Amino acid sequence: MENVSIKDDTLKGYMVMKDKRSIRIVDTTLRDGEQSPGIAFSAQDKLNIATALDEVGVAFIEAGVPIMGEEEQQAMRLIVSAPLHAQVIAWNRALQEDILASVACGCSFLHISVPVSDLHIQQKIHKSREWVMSRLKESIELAKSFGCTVSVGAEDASRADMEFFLQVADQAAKMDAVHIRYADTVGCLTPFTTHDIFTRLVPRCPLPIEVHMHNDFGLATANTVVALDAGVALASTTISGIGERAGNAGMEEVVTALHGRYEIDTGIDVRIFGNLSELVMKASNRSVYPYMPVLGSVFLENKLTAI
Amino acid sequence: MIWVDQTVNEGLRIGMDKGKIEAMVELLQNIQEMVIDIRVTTWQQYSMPPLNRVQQKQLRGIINGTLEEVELAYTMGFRDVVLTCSPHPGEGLANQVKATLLAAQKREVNMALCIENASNFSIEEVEGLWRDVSTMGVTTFIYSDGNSRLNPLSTFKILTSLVGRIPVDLEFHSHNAYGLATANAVGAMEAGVERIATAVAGVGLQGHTALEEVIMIQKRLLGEKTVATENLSRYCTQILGAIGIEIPGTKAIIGQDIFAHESGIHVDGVLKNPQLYEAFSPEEVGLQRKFVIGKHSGTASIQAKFRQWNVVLSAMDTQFLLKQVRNLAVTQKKSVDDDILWKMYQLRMIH
Repeated sequence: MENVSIKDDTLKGYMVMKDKRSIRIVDTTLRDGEQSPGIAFSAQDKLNIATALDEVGVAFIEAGVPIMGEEEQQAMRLIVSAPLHAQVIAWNRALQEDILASVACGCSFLHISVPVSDLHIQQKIHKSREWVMSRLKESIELAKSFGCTVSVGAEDASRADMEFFLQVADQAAKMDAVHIRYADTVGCLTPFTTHDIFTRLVPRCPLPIEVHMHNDFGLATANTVVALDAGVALASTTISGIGERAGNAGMEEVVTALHGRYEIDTGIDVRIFGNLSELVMKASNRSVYPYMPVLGSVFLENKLTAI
Repeated sequence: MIWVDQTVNEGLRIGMDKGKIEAMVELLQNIQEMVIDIRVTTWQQYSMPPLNRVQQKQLRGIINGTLEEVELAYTMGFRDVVLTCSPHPGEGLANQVKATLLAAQKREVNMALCIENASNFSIEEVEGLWRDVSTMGVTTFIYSDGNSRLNPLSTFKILTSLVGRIPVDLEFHSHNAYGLATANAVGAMEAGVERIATAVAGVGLQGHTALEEVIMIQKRLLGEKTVATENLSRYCTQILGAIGIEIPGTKAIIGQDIFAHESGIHVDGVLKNPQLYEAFSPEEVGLQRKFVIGKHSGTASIQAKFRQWNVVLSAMDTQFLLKQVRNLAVTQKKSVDDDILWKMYQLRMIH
C-alpha cells in the first residue's frame, strides 16, 4: 500500500468524493445479524456487544425487536439504560403491539418498517399501498405520542416502484421522521444499478437515506459504498457481515473501504475491529472465514488492509 | 466469458495433497471449461510430470520474467504462459521483461502479459506499457488490481477505455482487500472484458473475485447466458474440500445455510412465496431450503414445522411451544433441533 502514492493523482477523479462528508453507521448486528438462523444472543451478550459497538464509535445501534418476547425485552432494557453515546434503536413493524412493546422497554428511538414493493404488499400482507401508507401514519403518530424519535424502513425497496418509496419518504418527513432506510432485502442490486438509483433518488428524497444491503450475490459491501459515494448519508452494517441468508454488508469491509478507498470518514475506530468481531463470533458460535477481507486470518497475516 | 481459475494455484500455495490436483482440475471443468493458472515453479516443486495434451489446453503457467522460467515452463509442457511484472512508474517495461517475451515468442508459446500493479498507473501509461510490447507476440493483456485500489465504477471507466485502446484480449484480475473484488469484476464485465480471474469462494493470498458469485450475477442480475448452475454448490464445496478449506454456511451462492430461514417474518413470507425473501431458488444452485426453529421463530414457523409431521397445532399449544423454544435457544445459544421440539410437544401433550 505504501508504493502507490506517486500515481494517486491519476485516479483521483474516480476514487475520491467531490465533497468530503461524514457517514454514519447504523449497526444492526443485534437485530438483522442475530436473525441469522442459529444465532441466539443472551441479554448479557447483547449488552456486551452494544457496549463494544459504542466503543468503536457507531452512531446508531439497532438493538432488537422488543415484540419478540421477554428475553428480547430484558436485553433491550439493559441496553437502553446503559451509558452509551450511540442512539439505541428498537425495530418495529407498523403495528400498535410492536410499538407499545418497544415503548414499554424504555426505548425512545423507534425504527418503523413497512414493505414498499408491490410483491411484498400484495403477497406477504395481502394489502394495498394505501393501507401501508395509513398504517405507517398511525404508527408514527403513536410513536410520537410517547415522545419517540422515529426512523422509517422501506422493506424490499430495491424491487419497489421508486415513486412509492418517495411517497413513503415524503410522509415520513412530514411527520418528522429523521431518516429513511432503503432496504435491498434480497440483495439483488449491482453496483451499477445502485449508482443509478441513488444518483436519482438522493436529490429527490426529503430525508437522509440509510442503505441496508444484503449479500446474496456477494455485493453487499460494494453496493453500500457505491450508494454512499452517490450521496447516501447512512449505512446499515453488521459485524463480520452476519445476517439473514448470506448476510449483510460487513462493517469492517464497508468502513475500511470508505476510509481507504473513498476517503470518507465514518468516525469508526478500526483498531478495535478485531476485538469486536471476536466478541460477536463467540456469542454467535461462529468463526471468521480465513479469506474474509480485513479480518480473515489470511488477510491479517498479510496485513492487506490498513487497520 | 472465460473464467481464469486461481483456486488450484491457491491450493498449491497452501500445500495441497498432490494426489488431489487432478481431481480438482476435473471438478473445475465440470463448472465450465476453464483456464487454470498455475505458478510454474510451484508445479515443479510438486514434481509433476510434463503436461499431457489435455492439460496443455487447461493449464496456463505463471512465470516471473526470467529466461530460465520460460525454458522451465516450456520443458514442463506449458503452451500458455503468463508473464507477470510490476513496472516502476515512469520507467516503462524492464528490458528483462522484453527479453523474456522475445524468448517465449521463439518457443511459440501463447503469451499473456500481466501488469500486476496496473491500477497504479493512468490509462495512458497502461496503454504505453502495452505499446512497448505490442510487436512481441502477446495475445492477452492482463490488467491486475494488485493492491485492491479500484472500486466498481473506476474499474468500469478504466477498462471501458482500455478495451478500445488495446487490440488483444483483455483480462481483468482483481484482489479483495476491501471486499470489492466481485463487484470490480462486474465493472470489468460491464465494460466488455471477457476474461476474468476468479477463485472458488474468493480464495487467494490477497483474495479474488468469487467464481460462484460472478456466475450467478451474470445469470440473475445481468440477464446473460451462463453455464449450468444446478450443481454449483456441490462442485464448489468439493473443489475447496480438495484443498482442505471448509465453505462457511453463510457463503453467498454456495453456503449450506443460505436458504435457512428462522425469523418469524421471513418464514411466514417464504411459506407464502419464496421470492419474498429469496433472490433465486435453492434448486438453481443445488441447495435446499430449510426452516430452522430458534429464538426468532414465530407462530407460522412452528405450525409449519408440525404440519410437516402431520400435526395441526392449536393456537395455545403454539404459544406454549414458542415460549419454550425461545428460552431453550437462548440458553443453549443455538437453534432447537427437530427431535427436541418433538419431545417438547410430547411432554405438552402428556400434561
